[in-house]
Amino acid sequence: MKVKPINLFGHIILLVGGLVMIYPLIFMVLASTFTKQEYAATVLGPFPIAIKPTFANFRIIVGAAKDHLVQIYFFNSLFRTLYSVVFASLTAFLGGFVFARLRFRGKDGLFLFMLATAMIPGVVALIPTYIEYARWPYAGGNNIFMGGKGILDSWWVYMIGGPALNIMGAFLVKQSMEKVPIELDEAAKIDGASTFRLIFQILLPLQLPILAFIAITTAQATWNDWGTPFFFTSSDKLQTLPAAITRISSIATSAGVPDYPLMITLGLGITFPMLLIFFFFQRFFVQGLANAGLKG
Amino acid sequence: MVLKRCVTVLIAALLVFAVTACGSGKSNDGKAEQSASTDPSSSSAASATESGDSSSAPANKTVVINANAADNVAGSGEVADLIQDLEKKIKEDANSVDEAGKQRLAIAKAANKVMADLGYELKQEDWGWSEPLVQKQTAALVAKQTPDIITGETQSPGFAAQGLLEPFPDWLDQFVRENVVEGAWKPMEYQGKIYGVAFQPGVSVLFWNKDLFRKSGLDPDKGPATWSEWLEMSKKINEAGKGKFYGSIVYSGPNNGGYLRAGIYPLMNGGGFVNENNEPIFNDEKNMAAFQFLRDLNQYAPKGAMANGSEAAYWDPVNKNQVGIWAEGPWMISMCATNKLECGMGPLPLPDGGKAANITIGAAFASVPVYAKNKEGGFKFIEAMLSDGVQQMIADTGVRAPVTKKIAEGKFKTEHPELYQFYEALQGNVRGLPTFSKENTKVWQVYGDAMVRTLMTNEDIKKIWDDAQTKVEAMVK
Repeated sequence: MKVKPINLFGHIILLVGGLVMIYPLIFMVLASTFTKQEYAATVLGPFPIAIKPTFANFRIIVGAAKDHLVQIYFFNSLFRTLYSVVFASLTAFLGGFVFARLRFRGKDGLFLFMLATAMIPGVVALIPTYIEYARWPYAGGNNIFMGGKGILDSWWVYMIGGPALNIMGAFLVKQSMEKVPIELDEAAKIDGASTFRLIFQILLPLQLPILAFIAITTAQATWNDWGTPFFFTSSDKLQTLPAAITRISSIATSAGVPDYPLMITLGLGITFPMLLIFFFFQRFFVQGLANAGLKG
Repeated sequence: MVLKRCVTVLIAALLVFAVTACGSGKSNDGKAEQSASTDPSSSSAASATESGDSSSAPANKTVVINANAADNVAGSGEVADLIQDLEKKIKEDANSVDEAGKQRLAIAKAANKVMADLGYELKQEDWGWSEPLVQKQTAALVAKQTPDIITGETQSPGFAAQGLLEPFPDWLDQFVRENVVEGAWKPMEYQGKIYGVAFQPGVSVLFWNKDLFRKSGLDPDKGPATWSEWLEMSKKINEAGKGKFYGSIVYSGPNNGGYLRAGIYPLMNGGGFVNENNEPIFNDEKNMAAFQFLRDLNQYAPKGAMANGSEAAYWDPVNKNQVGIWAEGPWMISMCATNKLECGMGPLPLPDGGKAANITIGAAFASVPVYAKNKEGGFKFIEAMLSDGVQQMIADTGVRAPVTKKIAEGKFKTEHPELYQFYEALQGNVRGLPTFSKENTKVWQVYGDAMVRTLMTNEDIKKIWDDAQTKVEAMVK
């Protein structure tokens, strides 16, 4: 079969692009086989090969898996991710339904206002959020607003804080749902379907691709989020894997002797579950975005 | 209609559930919160001011410390429990904790013992270091939710100037002035009052690579004593290296790490960041010679390493036997051993007519915030960390210099002559980074940009710093 030059050119560009994308991962795998001493003493090339390769860093991960605290971090990461995925998908779906199907005064203005909040960088909201949690009424020793620590350093930071309303998700669901003919709703109502049944039995199955997309991106963001545990909690028992790694990095660098291979290996360790999720569910990305009308 | 009702009921239920579930008035672990006022003028502060007498049992036993990794065992929780866990871990497998971890354990044990003897229980919260720590501390101070001790580096003088830290009570102030080397507390002195002290701070001293000195035909036992000697030696090393190794690096990147290291040279020449009224003096005549010196030195450094935004670009060639001369804090001694570098050490070279000066680096200043619930306990912790037992432990670990005159001038002087050089450098003209009266971050950004332009371009140095001065004067006006 003859390959058209334009296709060959396209494949070369994709191959080079793919290599650029995957290069950091290759570097991480190679660097994780170094000892701290060899890493510090070697002038690293683009593909560093250890003279005395070691799997000690990987053994630390395996060994750490038996550590009680690491098990807590893992459980916290997993539970928080699952909770966020369920809650964010639910709020995105219901929010999307409200803005796509219901009619009320100020709907467009309200939607734009909510969408605008998604444009504020998280770091700008850090101090207001901290104060909000610290002043949470009747929590953590507070009277109406003061006196205690509010919901800081408690599980409520994860339950209330993260997925209150996934407005970007709601936007995607709204876009996707607007493509479904309104006649479908009317037909269902004529056949006697209640609003609840209409939402969850008729419209929900049609939104599964975009909800899968929302679930995957939420899972990725929550799993990798180190900021929420770091800033709003202090207890060991509330930490997640990325936050725990941040602490390890802080200790490693403060003494002036960074153990980069160990930090890189730990980074690999927490990346792996997300790689698997992406690998198995990547088709939902395309499908979901296509349904939302965002694909070119 | 049905949907509307459902949604209303759901939201109401969620709110009731949330408020009742976390509204128990207890902390997450079920223990009752400490009953203390957040009022800065609370009675605990007042009693702390009165006396350092430790004979009576404390009213509030728990002291919450915002841990610094160099001083304490890692992790968050009761320090006694953390010590016990770590000791158990070491007992099961001696290699499970590295030397630095064992040294931190020894220091934490000594501090915990002093506090336990006084009737206090230490509780530790690990808030990390560097930028994330600054953000978390800022948020905590704004929310008036702080531990009893916070540790910080470049941000701490700023907190003191903003009135967010409690001045040391008279008994502690007097103890520190009489017994602790100036460099450990002088950067935290504001309007005649001390607001913090570092228990094992660093300053920069000169290091040189003896192996590269030999390869360049230089005497490996003698480092440069003046700026002109430094430039001369750097040139020789660079020429011998032929691109394989380089003359010198003074890290001068546009960040705190750069300001702390490169800021020393203007001070030596009689200049500095600010005048006695804390006003920026970036374009001071005396600074220009120092900036010219750094530009000259940069030609003998690995390309782009001195002005790089990331410290890694500086550490990498130093650790890999590629740099002849550099200036660094006390941790460099152990790094030389780890990286098998044969290092020489000496005081920082001086300019003609200049005087020794330094800036603290890696200094974790411990302070009591005005919103601390147990201020008395906080000050007792500072006293404990400056006690003979803890300072002797810091001296014995041989990683950093102690700060109390009694311990440093004792056996330590002869047992750790390399580290004693750092103690010596902590005496005299030692500063911290200033906090500008307005737009502090932006002013530092201007300084960093000007430094990068100084090193990376051939523009007129005076003009670069005149421009910077004009900008910052408008900012702080």
